[in-house]
Amino acid sequence: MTASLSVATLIELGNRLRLANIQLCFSGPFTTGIIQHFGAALRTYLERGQSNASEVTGVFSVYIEMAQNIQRYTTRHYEALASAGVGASNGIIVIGRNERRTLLVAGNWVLRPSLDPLIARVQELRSLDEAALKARYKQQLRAAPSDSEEDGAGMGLITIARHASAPIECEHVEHPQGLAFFSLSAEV
Amino acid sequence: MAIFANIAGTDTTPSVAFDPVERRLSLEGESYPENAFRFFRPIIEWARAHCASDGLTLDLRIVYMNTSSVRCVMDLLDVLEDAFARGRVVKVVWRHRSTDERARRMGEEFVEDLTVPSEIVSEP
Repeated sequence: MTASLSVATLIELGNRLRLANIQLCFSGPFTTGIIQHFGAALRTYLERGQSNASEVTGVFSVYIEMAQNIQRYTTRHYEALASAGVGASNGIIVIGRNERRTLLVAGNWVLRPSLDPLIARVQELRSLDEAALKARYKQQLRAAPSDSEEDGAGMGLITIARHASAPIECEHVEHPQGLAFFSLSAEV
Repeated sequence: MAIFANIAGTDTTPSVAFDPVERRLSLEGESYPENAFRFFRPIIEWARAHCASDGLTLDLRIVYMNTSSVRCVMDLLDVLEDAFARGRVVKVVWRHRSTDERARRMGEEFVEDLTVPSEIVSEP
């Protein structure tokens, strides 16, 4: 397949991002280098804007956890995602702002069997208040040894929920080939 | 005394330096490596060896830590807890920018379950 994009499509893409108040967006492979450099760009962008140090830390934390969740998931399931024909290590993160808050939305393809547990975890975290989230965080921290990378995603979601100023939200679209596109959003 | 080879910081890992006179291990910067355990394990092992015979102040000035780094720092704090229980002179200092409320809270959460003496320092 050759990549092609007409100037009209490019303008439309730009307009859509602008109308949705999206300031920064990355779509493509979530490699260590890309996560790090896009993160640095995000931090610079936030520091030049009106965000205070605490907001910058909050947005940056949510971004890193979202990006590393995608990286971990797509690395672990690379073969299956690749054979289903989707860009195996690909995902998307968009960052938008309104007057008061920053919105981060992350999306990536997941295997159908991963979908229900993911949704259940998000729903559960949505029902917890700040104190309960903190208790859950501390309990999970102690539950797994630091050398296990398995539960990284669970901790990441709790961290995202703790930094978010409103309950985190998720959505998905199912795809016939045993896949679903999963998106997670958080407001800081 | 166990020798510590100082580590230069990178975008995703903090600098780590040991001052043998002050017995102070300072970590400074950001911490979100892909594999935090690989980065922290030698530091934790060094701290354990050092604390077998000496005291230690752990001085943390970390802007951002991912969750796996948080786990590793907790392991490091466990080493200090053990040393404290055995009568060593140990201390934890957490430094944050005065405007960074979230970093202050993170520090408070780190030290709230500790018996080791700790200090939260707000810096300009």
